[in-house]
Amino acid sequence: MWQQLPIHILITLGWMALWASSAWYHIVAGAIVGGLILYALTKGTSQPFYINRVVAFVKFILVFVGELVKAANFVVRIVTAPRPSHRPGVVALPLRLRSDTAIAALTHLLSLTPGAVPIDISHDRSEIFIHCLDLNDLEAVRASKERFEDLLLEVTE
Amino acid sequence: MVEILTSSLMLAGAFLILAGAVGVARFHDFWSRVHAASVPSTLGVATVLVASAVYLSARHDQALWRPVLAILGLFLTVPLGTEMLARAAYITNVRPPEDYDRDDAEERHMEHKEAVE
Repeated sequence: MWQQLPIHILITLGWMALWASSAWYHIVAGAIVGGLILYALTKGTSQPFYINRVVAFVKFILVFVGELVKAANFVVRIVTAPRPSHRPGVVALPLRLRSDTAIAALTHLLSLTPGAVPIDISHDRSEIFIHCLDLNDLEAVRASKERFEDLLLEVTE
Repeated sequence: MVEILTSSLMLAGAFLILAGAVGVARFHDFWSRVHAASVPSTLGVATVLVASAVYLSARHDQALWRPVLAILGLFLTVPLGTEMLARAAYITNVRPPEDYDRDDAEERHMEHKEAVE
């Protein structure tokens, strides 16, 4: 699928050569034309359009930043509470991802989600052990883990 | 306008870093402290860097990508350090001062302990 990227760049360069210009609007127009051509070519074939993957990646970054803001807000709320009432604990959640890269990415992301730090992966890779800052908030941790898993499955598979 | 934006961003970042420091002092067990040390301060430092990016690009016409690169480096390294700390404590069998209400990894503590010793 990623062999579509050099083709896209090539079409863009070709477009710029046709206009004999490297102005930004010609680059943008060339990229749009190349995208349309590639979309038309991949439509109806078994090969997925690579821009879908790029869009999935951008969505992923946005979700990540949103989760990070929520996480900081969460910790700040607990820190500034006059009497600490959070109940920390360690939970095991089922793991759907299989590849090393995806699991590494998931643990990386989880450590920046609200109230969760991944501690370990079970030997058979069926469970991930997560330390929750507040067990009352377990559902939120589970939900963000599921969302990240969905996004990672979309990007890597 | 730019001054107001950058100063509010920097104040927000400083507040987040302070909150992280207070959390390290207030929480009772190791992993909760790791939480407090990683999450708010990462966002805090990132916010301060965004402030510097806004200010530099608006006032001094400097390249925007340097702070962006720093933020990227931060986001790639801090979670890694957090994970390593959490896992190291887990493998060396660090125990919370009071038992957790729920600890699914309790049995595995012992499993690791045998492997380490």
